[in-house]
Amino acid sequence: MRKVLSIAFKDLKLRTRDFYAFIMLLVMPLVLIFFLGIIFKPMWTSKPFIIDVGIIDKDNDEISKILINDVFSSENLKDMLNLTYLNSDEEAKEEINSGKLAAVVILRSGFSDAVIKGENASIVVLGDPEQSIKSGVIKNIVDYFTIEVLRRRTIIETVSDILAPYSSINPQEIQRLIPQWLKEIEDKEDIVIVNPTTASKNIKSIPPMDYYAVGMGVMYLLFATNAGAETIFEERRLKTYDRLKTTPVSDKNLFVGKILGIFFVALFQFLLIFLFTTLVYRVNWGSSITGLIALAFSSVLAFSGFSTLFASIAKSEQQIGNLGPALAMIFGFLGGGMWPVFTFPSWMNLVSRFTPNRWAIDGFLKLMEQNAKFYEVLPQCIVLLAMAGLFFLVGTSRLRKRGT
Amino acid sequence: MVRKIFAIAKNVLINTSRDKGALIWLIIMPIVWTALIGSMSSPKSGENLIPISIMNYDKGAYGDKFEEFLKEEKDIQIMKVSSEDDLVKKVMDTEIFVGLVIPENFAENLINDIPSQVKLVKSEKSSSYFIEELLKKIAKRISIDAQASNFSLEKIGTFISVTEGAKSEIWERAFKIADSSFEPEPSIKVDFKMLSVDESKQSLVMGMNLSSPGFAVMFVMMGVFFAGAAMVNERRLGTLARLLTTPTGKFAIISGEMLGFFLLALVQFLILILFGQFALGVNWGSSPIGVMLIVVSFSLAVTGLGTLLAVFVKTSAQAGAFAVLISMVTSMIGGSWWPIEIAPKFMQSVAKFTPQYWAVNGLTKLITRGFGISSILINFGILMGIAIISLMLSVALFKFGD
Repeated sequence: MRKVLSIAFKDLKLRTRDFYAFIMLLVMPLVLIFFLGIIFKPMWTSKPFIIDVGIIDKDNDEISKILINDVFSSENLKDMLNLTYLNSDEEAKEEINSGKLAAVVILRSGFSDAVIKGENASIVVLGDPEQSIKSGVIKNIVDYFTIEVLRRRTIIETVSDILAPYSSINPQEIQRLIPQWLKEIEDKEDIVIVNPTTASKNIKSIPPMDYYAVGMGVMYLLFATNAGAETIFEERRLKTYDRLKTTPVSDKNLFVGKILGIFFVALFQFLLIFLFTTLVYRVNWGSSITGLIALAFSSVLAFSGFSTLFASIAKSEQQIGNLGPALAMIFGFLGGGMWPVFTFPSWMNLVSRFTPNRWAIDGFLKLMEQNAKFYEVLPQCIVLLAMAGLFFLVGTSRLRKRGT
Repeated sequence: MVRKIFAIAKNVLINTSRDKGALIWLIIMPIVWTALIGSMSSPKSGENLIPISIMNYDKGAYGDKFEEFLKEEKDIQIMKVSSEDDLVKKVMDTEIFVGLVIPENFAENLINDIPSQVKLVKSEKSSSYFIEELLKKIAKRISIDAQASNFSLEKIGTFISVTEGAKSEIWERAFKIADSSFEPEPSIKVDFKMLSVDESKQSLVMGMNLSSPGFAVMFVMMGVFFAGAAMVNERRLGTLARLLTTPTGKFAIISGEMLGFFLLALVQFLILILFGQFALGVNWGSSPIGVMLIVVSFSLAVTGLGTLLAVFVKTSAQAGAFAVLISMVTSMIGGSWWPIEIAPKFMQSVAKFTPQYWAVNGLTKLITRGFGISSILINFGILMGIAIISLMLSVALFKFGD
C-alpha cells in the first residue's frame, strides 16, 4: 500500500511543478469562471439592461402621444429605455446598422386616425439583428400597447354592432355615448388572468459566478484526469516504467498507483478551485459539507474512470493530448457547464445525460440552489459511481491486457 | 530569397498537415463546436415545436376555445396529460415546457364578468419566456372578447329589455363579432422587422449565423498560436538556429515562418467558411470580396500576435498553454461565443481591444446585415493596424535561440 501511495503522490508532485499543468488546470478555469461570471451578470439581475431605442412620430396625434408620454415614460420603463427622437426611416436604419440603437419605433402619419376610423393600423418596429434580445423587449412593449388600443376599439365596435339592428335605438344616440363608454372601459381589468406558478420547491437563483464555478470546475476535472492518463504513456516512452520494474514493486501496485495518481491530481485541482472560488470569488457552494465531499469524490472517480478508459482505447500519448481537451470541452458543454441545460433542444438534453458532467453539475447545483442535504444528492453520486465502476472495469481490463 | 521564403512556409504547412492533432484542432473540433453551439442557440424554428399541455376542467365551451386558439399557433405542440399531477410531473421532468390548467367555472365566469385564473405551471429548469408571452396574448384575446360581450349586454339593457333566453344568444354573437378583430390577425398590430439581409427570414446574429464566423475566428487564432508553439520547439531543438548556417538570411527565415502561419490560417478559414456555407446554410457568399478582406486582415493579425507570443514564451508547453488561454478568453470577450449585447456595457468596450471583435463584427455586417464592402473598411483597417504593429514588433524581437 505504501508503494502504491508513493507512486500516486509522485504524480501529484510532478503535476504541481509543471507550468503547463498549472496554466491549463488551474489558471484557465479560474480565469474562465471570472470572465463568464461578469459577462453573464446582467442576465441574472432583475433590471437587466438599458435599451437604446429610437422613435419616429409622424403621427403626432392622440394615440402616439399616449405611447410616448404614458407608456415609454412610465415609472416602470423610463429607467430602462434611453429614448432618441429621429426624423426619417433613413436615419433610423443608419442608427440601427451602426449598432447605436437596438430598435426604432415608427408611428406613421395617420395612425391615430386609422385606429379611430376602425381601419387596420400598425406600428412599425425595426430591430437590430445583433441585439435581438433587446429589440425583442421593445417589440413586446409595443405589442402590449397595441393590444390595449385594440381592446378599447373592439369593445366599442362590438357594442355598436350589437345595437345597430334595433330600430328603436337611435344611431346618433350611440355616437353620442361612445366617449362616455370609452371612459367606462378604460380601467377594466382583464378577466382572464394567467397566473404563473413554479412546479418545484424553493429554488433560489444563484449568480453566474457560482454557476460557472460549478460548470468550469467540473469541466476541468476531465482536463486533469486526461492529463494524468497521458503520463501512463509518457512513462512508457521515457522508459521509467521499465526502470520501476527493476525495483520490488509489483505490476499491480504500479498500475493501481498510477490510477490513484490520476485521482489525486483531479481531487487536488478541485480542492484548489473550490478554495479559490470560495475565498476570492465569494462563491457559495451550499451548506452540506458531506454532500459536497460525496459529490466531489464521486465526480473525480467518474472522470478518473473515464480517462482510464480513454487511455486504454487511445493509441498514443499524442492522441490523448489532442483528443483529450477536445472531449473535455464537448463534455463540458453537453453537461451544462457553459449554458444551463434548460436552454438545450431536447435531443441535446438527452445526450447530456450520458456525460458525467451533467450528473455532477446537477448535484452541485442542487446543493447551491436548494440547499440540499447529503441524502438529496445521493442519486447523482450513485450515477457517478456507477459510471466510474463501468469505466474502470472496461478500462483496467483493457489496459491490463495490453500490459504496462 | 522569395523561393527560400516559400520553402520555409511550405515546410510549416507540411509539418502541420502531417500532425493528426493539428487536424483535430484546426478542422474537426471547430466543425463539431460550431454545429453543437449553433444548434443550441438557434432561434426556435418550425421544426422545433415547443411541447405544452392543457388540463381543461371547464364545463362550458370557452375552455375549448382557449385550446382551439392554442392549436392555431404554429410554434407549439399540445401533448396529452392524464391529470393535473401528471402535468406538474411532466413539467418538472422538462418533458413539456409549460402546463396550463383551465378552471372548472371558466366559461361561467366569463359570462358573469368574474375574473378567472388560468394556472400556468412552469419549471425553474426551462426558459419559458417566449411561450409565456404567447399564452398571455391568447388569454388577453379571450378576455377582450368576453369584456366586449358583457359590455354589449349591459348597454343593450339600458335601451331595451332583453329576455334571459336572448341574452346568451346576444352574448355569443358579440363574442364572435369581437373576436373577428383578431382574425386573420389583430387589426391593430406591431409590424416587426429585423434589419437583416433577408427580412422575411428574420436572420439574427444567433445560432449558426454567429457560431460559424465566431468559432472560425476563434479556432483560426488558436491554430496559428499552436503553430507558433511548434516554432518555439524548433527554437529549443536548435533547428531554427541551424537554418542560419545555411545561406538563408534571418529575414527570409522569419518571413518564411510567418508566411507559413498566414497560409495556414487562410486554408483553415476557407475550410470553415465552406462548411458554414454548405453544411450549415450560413449566408457567407453575399460579399466575397468583403469576406476576403476580413479573412486576410484577421489572418495577418493573428500571424503577428502568434509570432509575438512565440517570442515571449520559453517552452512550447508554455506556448500551448497560453495559446488556449488567450484565444478562448479573448474570443469570449470579443463576441465569438454569444451576442455581445448580453454583456455589461464596460465589457462591450473592452471587447473592442480584441481582434475577434473586429472580425466577428465585420463578418456579421456581411453575413447577417447584408452590407457591402464599404461598411467593413473600418474593421479591415483596424485589423490591418493590429497586423502591422504585431508583425513589426515580432520581427524586431525575433529570437533564433534561447
